Amino acid sequence: MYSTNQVSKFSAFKAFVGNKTDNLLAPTLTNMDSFGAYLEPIIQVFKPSWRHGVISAAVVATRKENQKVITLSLRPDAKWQTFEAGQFIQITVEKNGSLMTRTFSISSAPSHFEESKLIELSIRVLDDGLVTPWIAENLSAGDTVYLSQASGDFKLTSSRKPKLFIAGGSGITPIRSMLNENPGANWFKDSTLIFYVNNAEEMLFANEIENYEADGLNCHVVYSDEQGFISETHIREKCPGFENFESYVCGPPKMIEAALSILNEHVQNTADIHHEYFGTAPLSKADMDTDFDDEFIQVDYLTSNKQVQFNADGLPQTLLDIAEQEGLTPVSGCRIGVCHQCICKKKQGRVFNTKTKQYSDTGAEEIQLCLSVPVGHVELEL
Amino acid sequence: MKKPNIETLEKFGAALEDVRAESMAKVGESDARHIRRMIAIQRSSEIAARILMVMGFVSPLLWVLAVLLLGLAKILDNMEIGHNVMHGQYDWMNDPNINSRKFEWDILGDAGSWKRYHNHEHHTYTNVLGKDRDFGYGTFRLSDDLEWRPKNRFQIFHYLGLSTFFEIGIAYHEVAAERIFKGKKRKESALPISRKQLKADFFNKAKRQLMKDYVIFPLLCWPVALQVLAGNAIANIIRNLWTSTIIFCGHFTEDVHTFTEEEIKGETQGQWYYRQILGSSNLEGGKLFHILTGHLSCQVEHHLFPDVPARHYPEMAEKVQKICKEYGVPYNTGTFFKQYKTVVQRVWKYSFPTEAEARVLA
Repeated sequence: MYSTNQVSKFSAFKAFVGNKTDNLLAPTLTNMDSFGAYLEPIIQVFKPSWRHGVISAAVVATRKENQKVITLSLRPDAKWQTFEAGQFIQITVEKNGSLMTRTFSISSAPSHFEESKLIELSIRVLDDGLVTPWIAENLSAGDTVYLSQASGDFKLTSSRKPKLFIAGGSGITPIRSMLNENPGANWFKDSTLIFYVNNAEEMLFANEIENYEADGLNCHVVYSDEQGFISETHIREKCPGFENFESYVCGPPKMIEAALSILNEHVQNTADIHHEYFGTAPLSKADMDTDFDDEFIQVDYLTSNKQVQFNADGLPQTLLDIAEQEGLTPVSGCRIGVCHQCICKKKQGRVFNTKTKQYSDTGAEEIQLCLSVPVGHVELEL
Repeated sequence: MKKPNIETLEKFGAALEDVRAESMAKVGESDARHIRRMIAIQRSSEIAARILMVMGFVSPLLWVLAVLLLGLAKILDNMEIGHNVMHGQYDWMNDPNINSRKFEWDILGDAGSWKRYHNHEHHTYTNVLGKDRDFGYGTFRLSDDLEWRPKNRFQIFHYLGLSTFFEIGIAYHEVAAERIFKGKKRKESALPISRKQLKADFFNKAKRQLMKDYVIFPLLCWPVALQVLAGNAIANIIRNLWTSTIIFCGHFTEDVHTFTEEEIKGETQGQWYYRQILGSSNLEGGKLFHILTGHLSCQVEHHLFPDVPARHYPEMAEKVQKICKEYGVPYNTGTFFKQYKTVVQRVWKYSFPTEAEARVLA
C-alpha cells in the first residue's frame, strides 16, 4: 500500500483542523457538509472540472486495442493511493451535464503506476451503452475524469501454487494487470493462461501475450467462433492437472458460470477458485430460492405518485431498472451496488438483494435500488 | 366558462405532454452550467455580503449594500436554486450536492418537511379546498367556500405579518398541520416519519439557522455585532417579503379557481392539467425577474411540469398559452403590479362576510 511517510505532520494537522471545522461549522454556516463543497461552484467558474473531495484524473492518452476495446491512460491526482493487480475502480465522467459512473478493472500493473504515475483502463465499448460509446467518442488527452480508490478482492494470493488464468474477451483486463506485474514470480513458469476471444479481430494485447509466453507462461488463445464455448475438455487439454491449480476467472457472466461449474466440480480446495464478474452477477430466478410472494408484483412510487404492476414470471428486474422504464429518473451511479448513490427509502415490502443474496424484511429501510429485486408489493419513496 | 369534456381534455393533455417532451429533449449541459452559475453567484454574493456587513463603520452605504447582497443571496438560494433543486429538476445531473435528496436551503424551515407538504400535497391537490393547505395556509379566507369568521376581518394585517415573517410560516406549516405542539392530534395523518422525528427536524434546522444569522456571525464580528445582527435580520425580512409576494401572486390572484374534493375524484391526466392551469397565475417580466422569482413567475408551467428545469418555463409558456387559446382554457397572466393588486384585493374582499352571512350576523 502507499507509504505513510509522505503524509507530513503538517498535512495531518491540516486534515484534522479541516475535518473539525467541516463537521462543526460548515453545516451551520453553509448548509453543506464542508466548506469545499460550498465553494465548489465558485471555483468551477475558473476551473470547470474542479470538484470537492473527489479524485480527479487527467486523460493522458487514448488508444484503440481493437474494433471494440479502447484503452485510457490516466494520471490520477495525489489523493489516489494505489492498487493491487486485479482490482477495479469506478470512473465518473460528465456527459451532457450529467455525472455518470461505471466500474472497470485496471488493466495496467501496479509497477507501471510506480514508474509513471499512470494507470490504464481497457474498456469494451457496448453498442447500446449509455457511457462507454460516449467515452470512446468524446474523451481525449487533456480531459478530466473522476476516480474512486481501487477496491475488489480479485487479487493474487500469497499461495505458491501454479495458477490457471481463464479470461474471456475484455475479462483479460485484471489478469493483464496481474501478469504484467509478476513476470519473474516463482509461479509464472508453471502457470497457464487460457484466453477466449470470439475471433482474431477481437484479439487483445497480442504482443503482450507473446511476451508472457517468452517469459515461460503457457498461453492458449482460443477463438470461440471456431473452437466453441468453454468446456472441460478445453481446460483439461490446455492445463493438465488443473485440479491442483489456483484459478482466476474473469469474463462475461455466462463464461464465468460455465467455468465455475467445471472448476467447482474438480478443484480440491474451492478457496483456490477466484472470479470476477463484470457488473453484478446476472439475475436469474435460480438465485432466488423462494418463490415470489405474489403472482403480480406491484411497485408504488409514493413521491411521484406512480404505480407499476408486472407479472412475476418474467425475468427478475431491479427496482432501478423498473423505475427507469417507468420514466422516473432516480439518482444512480455504478449500478452494481458500490457507489451507494441510488439509496432510497423503502416504506414497506420485501426485496431480494442480488449482492448479499438476502431477502429483506417487510419494514421500512434504506435500500440500494440497483441491487434490489421486488418480490412482493413494494412501496418506495421515489 | 364551461368545462371542456373529458375527450377534449385528453387531447389538451397530450398537446401539453408534447411541450414537455420538446423541452426535456433539450435538458443537458447548459442546464448544469446554469444551476452551477446561479449557485456561484448566490455564494459570491453571500460571501461579499458577510464581509461588507462588517465594513459599515467605513460608510453606512457599505452596510446597506451588504444587506441587499445578503437578501439577494437568500432569494437566489430559496427560489431559483433551492425550490427548483428540491423539486428534482436537476436530479439527472447525479451531482452529490445539487439534488433533491441532499439540498438544504438558507431558510428557517427544514427542507425535508417542505418537500413533503409542498411537492406532494400542494402540487397534487393544487387549490383543492381542504386538501391543499397552501391555499390560504389555513388562516386566510380567500374564497366564499369558506365560512366567514370574525377573525377574518383583520386578515389584511395578518397577511402583512405573515409576509414579513414568511419563513416562520414555511417552517411551521407541517408542524402546525400535524398539531405537534398544540391542538388535537389529526385522526388521519399520512406523515411518513414519526412525530418525534418531525419535531426534532424542526428544531434542528431552526436552531442551526438562528445560530448562524443571530449568534455566530455577529459574534465573529464582535465589535460590530449589533450591526451585523440587524443587517442579517433585515436581509431575512427582504427575502421573506419577496418570496411571499411572488408566491401569493402564483395562486391567490383574482381569477384563480378553487376546487372541491368531490370535483377531483377519479381525475384523468387531462383534467389534472386543466386544474393546474386554472389554479395558477403567471407574472410577465424579463429574464432577471424570472430568475429572482425562481421562475415561479411561470407558476402555470411550474404546476404543469414541476420537474422540468425552470429556465425552460418562459419558452414553454408561449406554447402553453397557444394551446390554451386553441382549447378555450383561460390562461391567467399579467404584469407583476396588475396581478399583485388583485391579490391584495382578494385578501381584502374576503375579509368581509358574504351578503347572506352578513344578514345572518346582523
